[in-house]
Amino acid sequence: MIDCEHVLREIELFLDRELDATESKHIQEHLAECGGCLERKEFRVTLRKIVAKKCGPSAAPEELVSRIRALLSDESS
Amino acid sequence: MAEEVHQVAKPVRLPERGSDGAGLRARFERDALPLMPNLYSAALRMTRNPADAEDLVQETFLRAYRGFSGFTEGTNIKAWLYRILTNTFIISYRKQRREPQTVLEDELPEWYLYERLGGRGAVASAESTVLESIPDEDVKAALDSLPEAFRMAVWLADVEGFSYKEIAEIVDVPIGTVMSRLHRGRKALEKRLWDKVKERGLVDD
Repeated sequence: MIDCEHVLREIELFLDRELDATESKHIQEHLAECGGCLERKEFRVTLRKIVAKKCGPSAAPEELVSRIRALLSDESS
Repeated sequence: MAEEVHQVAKPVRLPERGSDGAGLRARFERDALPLMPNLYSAALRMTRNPADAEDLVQETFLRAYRGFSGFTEGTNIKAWLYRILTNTFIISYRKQRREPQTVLEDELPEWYLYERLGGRGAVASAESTVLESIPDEDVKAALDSLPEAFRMAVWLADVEGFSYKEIAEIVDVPIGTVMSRLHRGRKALEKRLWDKVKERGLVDD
């Protein structure tokens, strides 16, 4: 059984889906049994979601979209 | 034999292959242009200035269109466009507008924000309520306050969901560098978000 210190060190790679299947499974098994680690993991998941939502892609200005379309037409002709 | 002759006699049309100008244009419209919100928003984070972001995106799409016949259909077009965006930024903007040196905290503890929000006897949902209540502009400002290499690593991973390998290819650095930038960038972002939480009085002192 891996310990909390190990799990918390690997949690960033785990959430980034950059661990191999075996290691990822070990982390999941630990998280299923350890409320403290699970709470920290959930915190990071929430934080990432909120950052992604609040900074996430917003529409480009209409004027820019039409300018680029016009430039592409010039290039195509 | 007769069938073969029949086949050869048929006109050969490959409308979606982009071998002709019209097909290329149509494919670019379909696959590349819908990603403009992503690239524009990334350009805003890169340049931190709407006018520069527009110029950067315009140049990126023009370059992309000119090079589009070399793009292999079915591969990751978003990563491909991001690569062009990054190169265009380096060539056209980074040199002329050297951004003021911003220092990234080196000695921040792990779980910086968790310890501060969680150490208040708040239940887990209360922590996310505090985070949710930070205005969008504040979160963007917190991200923008990170040095460029770090804020782009965080953007590419946490907003766009690119893998380490994809980010390494987009910004042209080794994977180890991506990991280190992400780790330090995310920690610094937690610190800056905490500053915003305090500034706005979103938690009791």
